Amino acid sequence: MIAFQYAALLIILALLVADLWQLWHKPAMRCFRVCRVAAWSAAGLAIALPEAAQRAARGLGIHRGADLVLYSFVLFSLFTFFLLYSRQTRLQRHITELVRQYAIEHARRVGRRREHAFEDERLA
Amino acid sequence: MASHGDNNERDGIWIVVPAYNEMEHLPRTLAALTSEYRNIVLIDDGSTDATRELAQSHDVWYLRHAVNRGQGAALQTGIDFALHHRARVIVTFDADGQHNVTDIDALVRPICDGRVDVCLGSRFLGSAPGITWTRWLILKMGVVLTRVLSRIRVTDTHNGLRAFSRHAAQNIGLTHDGMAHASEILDYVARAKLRFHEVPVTIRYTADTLRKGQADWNSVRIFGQLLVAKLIR
Repeated sequence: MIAFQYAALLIILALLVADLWQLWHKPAMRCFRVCRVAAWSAAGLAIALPEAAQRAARGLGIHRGADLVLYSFVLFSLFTFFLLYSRQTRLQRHITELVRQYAIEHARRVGRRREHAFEDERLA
Repeated sequence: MASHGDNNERDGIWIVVPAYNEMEHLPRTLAALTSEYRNIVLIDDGSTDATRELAQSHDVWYLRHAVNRGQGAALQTGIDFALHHRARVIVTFDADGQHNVTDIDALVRPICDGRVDVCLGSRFLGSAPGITWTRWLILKMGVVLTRVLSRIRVTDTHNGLRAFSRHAAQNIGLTHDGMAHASEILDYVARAKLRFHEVPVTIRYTADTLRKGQADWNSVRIFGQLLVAKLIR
């Protein structure tokens, strides 16, 4: 193994341990943490055993292991992009709904003249 | 002089006016509206100029979005408010002085007569003095795209002057906060198979409204937003 592999594996091991600890002690977002543990594990395997990535690529009909890694990264990124966009859109709708509710609850009738005096009328 | 019957009819008509930083045109617009109609709802979409102060001297319902959300969001707020007050017909009207108050009567008449659910204003059936050729071209392209995407045959796809029956307004539920709401409305009319009619209206263009109004390239962005929205829920 070369120096890069050692350094990268150390970092991945630290991230894996941190995520496993959180997965054990904090039940929230379990599915997300499991996915992340799987991602770190796959990355660690690809770095530690590059020939395994090559064999997996050939098994899928892809010429090089590096291409398999690249394609996986692109697909994962696209999935993440659509997921985040969908969540962002939903969040914006929730914000609008809150702003709308507040606006309606605090509506005012303005500019009315009654006996030559302006008067505001609160929405009942 | 309006008859008692006309007054009753007008009591059921609500005008929804979304406004964002319209201190220059708002007083004239509201003065024209309040001289003819009783139920005006002004939705201040988080304006940072004197829109709020100027609205106080007109007999209108004033609602304010704490933060700017977009014209689509402001329209839906106004529609929800008008429905809560038992509006029978809801008219959307721009605050920037582009629309004529005198066009509203022709817009609401078919709905009050029960002939249609939605009435859409069309500058291409009416007139659009001052329109630039680029704006004209992009609006025409919008008509073609709308016929393909929404499968509805209209002559003007982004006209802010429209009228809805109560039944039509109850089920709109705009989700696009920005300018794409106009296309979303047409999409809804087509999907819900609502009866609609187009009415010639006048849209006045000035250097100020052209500068402040939707930039031509925004049409491309709106088209993209609509396409993505169809893919992602």
